Amino acid sequence: MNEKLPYNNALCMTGKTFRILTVSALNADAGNRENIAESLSDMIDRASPDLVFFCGDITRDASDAEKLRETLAVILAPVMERGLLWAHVFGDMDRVNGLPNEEAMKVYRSFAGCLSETGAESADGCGNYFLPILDGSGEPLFCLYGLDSHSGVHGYETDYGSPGRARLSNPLYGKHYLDGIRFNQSMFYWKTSKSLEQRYGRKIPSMILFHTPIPEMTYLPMNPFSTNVQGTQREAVRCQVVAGGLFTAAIERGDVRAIFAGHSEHNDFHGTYGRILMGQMRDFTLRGGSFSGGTLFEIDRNGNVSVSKVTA
Amino acid sequence: MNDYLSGALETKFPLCCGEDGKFRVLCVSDFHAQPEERWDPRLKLSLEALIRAHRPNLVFIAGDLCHEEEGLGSDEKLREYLADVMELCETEKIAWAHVPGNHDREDGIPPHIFEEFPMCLSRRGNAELSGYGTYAIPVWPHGGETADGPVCMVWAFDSHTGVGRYAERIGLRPEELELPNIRFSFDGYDSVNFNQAAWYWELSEALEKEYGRKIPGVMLMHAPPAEHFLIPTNPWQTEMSGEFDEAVGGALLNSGLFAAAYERGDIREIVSGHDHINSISGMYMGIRLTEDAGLGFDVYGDNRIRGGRLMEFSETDPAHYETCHVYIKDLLTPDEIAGKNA
Repeated sequence: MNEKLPYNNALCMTGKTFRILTVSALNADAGNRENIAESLSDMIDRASPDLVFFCGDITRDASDAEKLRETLAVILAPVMERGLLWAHVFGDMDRVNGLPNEEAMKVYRSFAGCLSETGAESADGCGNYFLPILDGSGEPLFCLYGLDSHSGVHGYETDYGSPGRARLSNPLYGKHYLDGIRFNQSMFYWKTSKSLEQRYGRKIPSMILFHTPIPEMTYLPMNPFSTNVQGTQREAVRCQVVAGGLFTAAIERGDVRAIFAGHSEHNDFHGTYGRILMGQMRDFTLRGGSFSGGTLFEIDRNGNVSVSKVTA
Repeated sequence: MNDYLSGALETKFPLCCGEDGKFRVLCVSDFHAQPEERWDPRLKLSLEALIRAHRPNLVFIAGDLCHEEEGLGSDEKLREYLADVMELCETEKIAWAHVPGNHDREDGIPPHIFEEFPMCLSRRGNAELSGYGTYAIPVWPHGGETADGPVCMVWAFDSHTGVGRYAERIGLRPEELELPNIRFSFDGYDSVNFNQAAWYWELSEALEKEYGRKIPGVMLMHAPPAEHFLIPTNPWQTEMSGEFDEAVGGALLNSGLFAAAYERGDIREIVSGHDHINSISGMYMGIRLTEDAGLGFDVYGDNRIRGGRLMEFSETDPAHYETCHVYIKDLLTPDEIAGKNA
């Protein structure tokens, strides 16, 4: 396959809205990938997205590049057959499969329509990037950020040689000891957002997608009326253990309209906090093998984001 | 040094290590002088006892110098208050500096009055940053400024007031950030905001680039970042010392200041005031998190722990860092502390 993209890299909003079909945790392997592809194909027909976004935990058998390629070829087939553009971020499970994400990224990018990028060198991980959505005259209407939320917090400990453990008996934000969006990645968003404003003389409305929730997402189910929570929360929001400041960066910049993460077998909710639409998307492939579905984001030309569910 | 760095590191006079090649900063907080009455003389007695005993090169007041937002009612009274309490620093030529706390805001305690004092290094800081008083003080060797860079950095942060005012500053309504159910902040305090953490990050990176090494430092502020809560809730794992007698008035939102410090790897300790009867200190991921206990007598406090935090760097050994809580009970008689000799 060709390393070069057969598609134009810039996304374009030609109609009244831009539609992003997002699926989190396909957990695809040799056993379920045909069924996933079939379901995805049906969902795409119903949702008619402009972009398909894979929000982490995409495959379960990426132990080597060839196995990953085989699985991706099957699940991406319905996307590529329709000539659709797509992008992805890695989830915590993508990292523990055996193949380093940097190597996996090469495999992902070898498929037609892939807009994912290895991304900013100043930001930790693989796959911190932004995708502008342009109007017909080439002016940006919206900006989509994908961030790598890493895996367990031990990675955060070892990357910076922490002399002490991040894992305490009573952490601030839940006991799941996950890594997440680190401060340097918040800085990547912060700097990008500022330079976009500098270049275009206005703030570009944006959405940020990644796999593992940020701490502020736990505030929503705790305050369902204040944040107007819709959907279901049937387990604690498992979020990163050391806060990297992304939410405050977003509200201080004032250009982020939505932040969504996955990483839950049971939760599928969203609400509004600090004027940002935030939520957690349920895994596509559930433990018993059944499929739940995905989330459709519809962005209008003013940058407003609305969210709806697309069942499998 | 480029313009960005020299501007960011500008101070009224160079702050240097002592003759012994050491730099000691004494962090005290929460004086809470009341507008309607004269401040308790035990504040000055205590502060001077601490200074004479521990010979700091910088006395840092981590907020809440005044109890009311309108300060002491007049500029003249504030001037008189500072001239009295900081007299020893001014006469002995000891540098001092401050940041505002949630009780004293810039409209109540005008910063220019601080800057009038020759030994005061408080700065407005970068005007693009939220609040008033987020600035960095480089500490030079005893011999003065050198091309090898500072011995260490003192990072001062305005930690603001409540999360509702944070909302208003960034164009939101208070109720868009205030929440009824919050986990670790009993009334929704603010702390250091993201733009201030980003300022630290960029200046810390620029310092490393300029001098080819990480410059060790301490962060001083009034209201603690949320991570301070981890110390009393994990006392064994964080090897907590000190007294813990009230809830940590931590921030509802987390700007990632702790994560920034951890990822940059140049911060030894983050010290806050705010909680008058806590002198907790513990280690999390290689960074010490500390509350310095209140010193003032015009507000609630605890004579068992009244004092401050003493930190020490060395110009010859970048790895040298010592820190401890220092007590007025070791320096004053029980009668003096009880105010019986007044």
